[in-house]
Amino acid sequence: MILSHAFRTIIARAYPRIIASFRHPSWFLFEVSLPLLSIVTFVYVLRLFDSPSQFESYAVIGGCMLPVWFNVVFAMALQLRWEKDSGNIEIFMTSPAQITWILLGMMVGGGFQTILMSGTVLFIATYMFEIKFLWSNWHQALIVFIPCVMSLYSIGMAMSSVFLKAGRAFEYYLGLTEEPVQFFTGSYFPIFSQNIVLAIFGSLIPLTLGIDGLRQVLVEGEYFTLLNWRYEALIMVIYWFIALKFAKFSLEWMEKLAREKGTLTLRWQ
Amino acid sequence: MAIRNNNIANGIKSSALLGWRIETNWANIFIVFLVKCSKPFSVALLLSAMYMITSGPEATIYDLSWAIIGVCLWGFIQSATELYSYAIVGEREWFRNIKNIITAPTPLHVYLLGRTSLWVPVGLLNFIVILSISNYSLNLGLDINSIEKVKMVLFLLLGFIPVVSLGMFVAGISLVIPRFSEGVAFGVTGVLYLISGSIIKTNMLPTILKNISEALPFTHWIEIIRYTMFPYFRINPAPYSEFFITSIIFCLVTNYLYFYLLNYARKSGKIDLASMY
Repeated sequence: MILSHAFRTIIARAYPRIIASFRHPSWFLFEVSLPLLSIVTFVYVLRLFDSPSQFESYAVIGGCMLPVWFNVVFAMALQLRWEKDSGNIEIFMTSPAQITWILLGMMVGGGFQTILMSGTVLFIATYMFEIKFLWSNWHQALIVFIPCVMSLYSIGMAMSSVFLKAGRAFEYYLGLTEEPVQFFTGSYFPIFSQNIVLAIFGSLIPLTLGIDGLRQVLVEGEYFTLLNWRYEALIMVIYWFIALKFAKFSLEWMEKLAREKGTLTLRWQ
Repeated sequence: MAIRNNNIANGIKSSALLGWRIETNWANIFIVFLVKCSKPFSVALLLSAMYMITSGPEATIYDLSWAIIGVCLWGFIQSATELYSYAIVGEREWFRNIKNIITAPTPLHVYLLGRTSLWVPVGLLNFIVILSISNYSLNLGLDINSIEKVKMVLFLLLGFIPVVSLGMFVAGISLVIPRFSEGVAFGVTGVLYLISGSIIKTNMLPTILKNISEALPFTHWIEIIRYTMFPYFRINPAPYSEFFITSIIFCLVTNYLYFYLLNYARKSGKIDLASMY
């Protein structure tokens, strides 16, 4: 019974995201064109710096992974706050569905949406810049990509309770999740070649490890890094479990605190 | 409706104060500036890292300083564009206040001018901080005595006119795209990032993009500022006439489009169409 509830909740929350991927073609175009513009810009910067062509491949991989991160922050971490402001959170709380299942549904739907977008961006960018990836290593790429996406979404789940509790002031910090994250995760350059300490700091976000691992398995040529992609995949799996545990704990704690203080349904705060 | 001059002056003053209070509400001033400046600063760091790791034998430090100046000035364009778009989204969707602003004696464009004025201090702070840190840490060779100061300040201020016009244009688009308006600023800045000559040299772009880029005042504005700041960018003459011609045309077209889109939004009932939540 509980499992059937969980599945129904997960499907119900994943459904609007999957449908939304195709509902408005202009939205899809927009979601694809923005990261693509960013990739094009940085590929031209690499050409300005007379960089070897393999760096263009690195930039394309990094740029394609960014939509996943943005979806995690804006459609996962922020979602409960938006639901609170739109008056849905009390419906969620009073329904028999657990908030963890609701977030798992968002994770499934959001994951589908971003994988579709990232794939489209990758396809266009690869064609545009005539980049050759080692597609024969697709299974290794999946071993890196899946834990990366899952760990990112689990972090999004954990962050959602923080955003819900922290209130409106926290929205200011969202600006720090865009360009600063592009720098710290080495989206457009191999960060482990720049500074190991900086790279380890950047690896607090699993996106850094995911991008690094994908570069190792998909790009031809010598690539300097700290860890082999297998270890990176393993670390991301550990991230995934820790973040899921933390998400469950923080959601329960947030819910208890918010119920006690009466702030659960207090809008615009 | 007759509007006296002091209405406009008071309108700008009070809307600037209101804009400041809205933008700095819920967080302290340090956090506001930290977050607003983090974007161009991170791009400058990103460019420096890319230069250090990826540059080939043909690249020189001049290429990096060329791009860094572009990022410094880009802070003005980015913060202005975002603030104009968010002002419309905020007034229409979050505060549901746009009807009151339209019916008030202060025109909407005057209100927007004041409401979004935070882009000037944010842009200036970006400009000074990024340039100082880059010059110190990357040894770009910027010498205060070699800067053509009067020209630099004059053209920096003149460049604000097309920046404001761009903001008006973005506000106009935001008015007619209710469901989607939050992304307008990102879209416009994303396209301009590529073609405004801020971090990519126009001669590297395909011909059609190169022509569009040279028709934009920002390309020439950024080039003039580079010229006034670094002696090694003074090999070619500064594009003064190109800047004036493109600025005049750009301002006329964008402001016309703003008024056209405002009228269209009012006629079609989109002006207060709250579509988010």
